[in-house]
Amino acid sequence: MAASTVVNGLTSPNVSNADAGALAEEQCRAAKERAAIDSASRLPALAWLAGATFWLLWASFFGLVTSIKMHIPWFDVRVIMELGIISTLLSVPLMVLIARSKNLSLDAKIGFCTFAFVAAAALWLVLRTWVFDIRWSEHGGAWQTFGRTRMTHLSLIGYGWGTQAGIAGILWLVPRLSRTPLIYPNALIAAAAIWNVGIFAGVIGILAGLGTSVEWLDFPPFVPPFLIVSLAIVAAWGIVTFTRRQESHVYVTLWYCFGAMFWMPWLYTVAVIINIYSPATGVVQSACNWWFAHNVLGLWLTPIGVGAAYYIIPKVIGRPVYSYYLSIIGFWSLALFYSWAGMHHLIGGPIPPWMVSASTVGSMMMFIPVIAVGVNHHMTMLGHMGQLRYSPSLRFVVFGAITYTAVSAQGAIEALREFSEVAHFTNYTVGHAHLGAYGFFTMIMFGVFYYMVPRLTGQEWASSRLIRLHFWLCSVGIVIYFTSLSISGWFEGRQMNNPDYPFIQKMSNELPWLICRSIGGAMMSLGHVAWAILFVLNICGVGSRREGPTFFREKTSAEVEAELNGSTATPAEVALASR
Amino acid sequence: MADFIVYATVLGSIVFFGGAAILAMAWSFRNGQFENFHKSSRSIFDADEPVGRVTDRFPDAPRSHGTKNSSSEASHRS
Repeated sequence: MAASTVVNGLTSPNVSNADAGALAEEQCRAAKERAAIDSASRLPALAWLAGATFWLLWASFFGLVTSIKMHIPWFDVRVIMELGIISTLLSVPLMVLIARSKNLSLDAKIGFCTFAFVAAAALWLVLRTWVFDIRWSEHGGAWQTFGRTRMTHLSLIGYGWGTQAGIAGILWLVPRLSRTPLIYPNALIAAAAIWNVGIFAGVIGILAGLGTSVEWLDFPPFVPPFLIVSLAIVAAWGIVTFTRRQESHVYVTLWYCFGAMFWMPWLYTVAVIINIYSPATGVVQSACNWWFAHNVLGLWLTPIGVGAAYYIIPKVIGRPVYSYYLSIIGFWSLALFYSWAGMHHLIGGPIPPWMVSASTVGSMMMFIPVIAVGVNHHMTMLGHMGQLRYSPSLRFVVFGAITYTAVSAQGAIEALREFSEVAHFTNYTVGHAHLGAYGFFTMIMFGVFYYMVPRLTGQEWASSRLIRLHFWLCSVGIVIYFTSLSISGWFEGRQMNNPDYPFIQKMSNELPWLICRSIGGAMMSLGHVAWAILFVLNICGVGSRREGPTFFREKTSAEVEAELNGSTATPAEVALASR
Repeated sequence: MADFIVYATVLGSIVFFGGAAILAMAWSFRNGQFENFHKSSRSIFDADEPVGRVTDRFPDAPRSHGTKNSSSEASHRS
């Protein structure tokens, strides 16, 4: 109600001076409060985000390698590494010259630097293969076999990127929505450090052959204690923040964030105990494994992604969610049904059929939250689609929200036994998993960061062109990836169901689709490089300073007077103009 | 022993999660979280970033797209 009177006050020509003064004061207070809260979140959120971005690059690298190995089995990772190192050495002097030039715009500099790098790589390829006649090695060593690179990719996406990105988002969203500055920043930064040490040890461990082969818990047994301590710190911070909140209403995004922070530490700890330290025996272990693996998606990544979209979409376009009632239904039905869904991964497996049936029912019930969330996100956007042209974060978040509806509906249908007869154990499932973890979660998190980082650093993004490049590479990349694997997987399943169909024929039918997958994956990886460049430039302060609350200071009475005389600029802009 | 740990954790989880969900829901009823959806949905806006103000744009976008005020938005139903 307060918000609507404010808007009417702003636009009504007959407003009295006293009212306008009170309004300006209130506007001033709100801007200051938000700036203070954002600045308290700055270091911890950026620390987690820096770790997330770092591991995202490595995860993309290992993912790409794994994908290429599916159609070029002898592919040697050292080819890429050598190419990368030599090209960097060759192009860095040129890049320094370009970066120092005073006549070039930032976009042109980035373009020339990229060109220098690609040219250096091409030069080295030609020199090495045709001039020096050195053959590429065909033996890579055990550390880069498919099993280990895939495990590394999955773990890095789940824990290196996904979890850290989620926590970075939480550390900014929760204080903002609770209207209380972030507390214990040092503990949270320490948690980020502990987490990243754990991830580093885990990656080395997996590559050395110590991986556990339990999907989603692949890290060697010495890693989980790091992660548990770190998660516990974040969860404890969440509880304390909840008790300190100034905003009496718990907005739907907060429900999702608190839910995620409450579920994840417990889930992970329990899963590690019953899968690694004191493993359940026999087929029970597979049930424990998939109970956890699905819940990581459903009760950790999904709530953060959906919750973030519930904040970013209304906030960017300046319109409350379509139906707040539905959003509440959506949260509680997700809390109720999602944890049931894990056993649908074991359809056809040697576990009691009632467990699978219960999971199938749970998966179908997920239609309730999915429809609620879908209706809400899309109806809120209705009539504001034009904003997609102007807002980078809205683009990513809306892409993710649309994908969420699609991927969840697809997932529920995949849980049906009849459907699984064809789709299970094929590339179809892999396509679905990437649509969820990438098309939905990762894209939404990118959107959150495009909104969050400038407000934390007070620095605008350095290049719109690079943002657009990031968006198009990632969105087109995931579409290619998903489409090719879905088509391939479906035919694969049909052919495997036919005992007369030669298996080797089925394998060679897949090849073109697997190459398409590598192309899609390469585009996404390039998009991540664009994101990493933007992030580093922003942190280093390249680009224009942000206008708005970051610069905020108390208004002078002259500025209030100026505003009353017809200017519609925000107090922050007035303050800025008078500097 | 391993079986016992598994059953204990699975049953414990059901009680713990279910119980926590029921407690949380009971708390939010008592606390009045479900009382005024119209007001609640507007809790993310404030005087400086009111309903109707667009708050994000590409860094090179013209300023006019960055701020859009329309009072009709305020009466948009919750």
